[in-house]
Amino acid sequence: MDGRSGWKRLFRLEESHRHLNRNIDEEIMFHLESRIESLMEEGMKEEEARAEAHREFGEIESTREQLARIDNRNLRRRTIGDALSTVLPIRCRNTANGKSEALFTARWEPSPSRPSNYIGGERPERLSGIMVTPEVFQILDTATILGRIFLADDFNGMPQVVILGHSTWRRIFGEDRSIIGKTIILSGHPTVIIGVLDPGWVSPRGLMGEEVDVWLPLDVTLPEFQSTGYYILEVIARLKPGASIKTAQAEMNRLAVTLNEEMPDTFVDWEGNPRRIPIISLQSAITGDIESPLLLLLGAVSLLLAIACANVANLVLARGTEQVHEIGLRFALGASRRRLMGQLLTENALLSVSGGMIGIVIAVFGVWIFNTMNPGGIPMADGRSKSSPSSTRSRMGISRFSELTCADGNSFLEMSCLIRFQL
Amino acid sequence: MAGSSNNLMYGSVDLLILKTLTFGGPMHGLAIGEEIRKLSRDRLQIEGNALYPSLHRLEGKGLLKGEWRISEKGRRARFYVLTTAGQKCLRKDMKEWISHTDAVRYVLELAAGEV
Repeated sequence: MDGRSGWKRLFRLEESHRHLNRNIDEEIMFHLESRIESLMEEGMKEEEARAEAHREFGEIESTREQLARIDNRNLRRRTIGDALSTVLPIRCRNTANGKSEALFTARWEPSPSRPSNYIGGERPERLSGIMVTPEVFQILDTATILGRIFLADDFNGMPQVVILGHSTWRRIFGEDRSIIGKTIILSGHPTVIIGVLDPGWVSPRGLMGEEVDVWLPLDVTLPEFQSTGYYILEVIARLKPGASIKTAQAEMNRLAVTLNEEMPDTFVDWEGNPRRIPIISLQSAITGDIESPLLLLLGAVSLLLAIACANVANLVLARGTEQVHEIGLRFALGASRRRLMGQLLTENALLSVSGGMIGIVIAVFGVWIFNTMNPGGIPMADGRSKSSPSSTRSRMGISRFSELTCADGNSFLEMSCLIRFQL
Repeated sequence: MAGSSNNLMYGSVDLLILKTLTFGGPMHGLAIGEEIRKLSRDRLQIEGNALYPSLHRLEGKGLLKGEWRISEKGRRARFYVLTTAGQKCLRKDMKEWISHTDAVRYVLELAAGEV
């Protein structure tokens, strides 16, 4: 029977190790088997149900081929998207974005982090994961509070082991100290927990407010990585002592030229231009291109602050001339210079302290408004941070706070100077 | 069963899938097909070899998001949900589709009148 042979073909393919095809087969098989089940529930005999399900589905083999073609294309377009890893977002993000947005209005997910469905607790949970090569944790001086980091043996085929981020361990496993060695199902694969990261260690992703839930070993010898057409990995490196980004970039430029010569067809970006290997510092990777606009903004704000201070000083001065009579009277009644100064200082201190308080309230409110309406584009400023949602906010709050207190300090000083001057 | 109208249907499968997914949460391919059959009062039955390529294409375009979950019966199945881009696309395409089919019907009815 035609359907039967289709079945057999499916099973044989199931044994092959191509991940992609396995998923396609599993999807088709789920469809057929569920359909057979429900047809049998409706009273059909198994044979009939099987034949009917196959007839309804249509030609299986051609569907399979079609799906493989589509998935391959998707894969190429979306980076390995669903499947793979990253450590530092390097420039390829920009070029990739341009292309995909020209093609569709669909959102492009440049982060090749791997959403994993964790199953094992009371309910399945969606986790963000990253696959890393052996060197990554060494370069970043990663510490664990339980278990170990990856060893060379762990990098062997599809990930068999996983390291949990500290917050994941706390959130999902309730800080269970006996968790090491237990198996969880990640994206359908049983995976053994071998370590829990130290909460004091923050990954570059975490610095960007996208902390990772689980870490998996990345075996670069997998067939998926042997193709030269995908540029999905992000590389993190530590500069040798004495080396600068400039010298490293020069080295990478030479390397890029060599690669361009070796693979003129595949080592190209979306526009077909020869690919470069740009190096950026971790700091600029985090702050992005936002530094100069922010400095400009800071300059503008400082200027505004100076103007405001001058205004306040003016007002106080004007008030001072009105007080000349009062002060003269107090002086004539025998008030000492110190007491008069004390009085004026108290008055002005009250003014600036209350002004400062109102300022702080407005600042806190302003930060809140900014966070709620954040149009995006400022790294570390939106409420995205998974690992420490409040830290970025409070940090911004503090900066505003200090700005304001400084300002008040300034005007306070200025005022007292003026008062002295008057006296 | 769709029968000979398969060719006509082909272009609208994407649209039917997108629309069906607006009715509920994540659905797997089989459920989507069943839902379309039910909603069309058994008149449209999309075969697996049209349904799945369409699903995968839509996912590639970012209009759907697929993920492996455990089905009601405890088996692993690929579930699809509509993305925001998918919703937008559906709204736009639905308008186009309706105005297009309206136009086609208008012409056909005129022709029928002449016959």
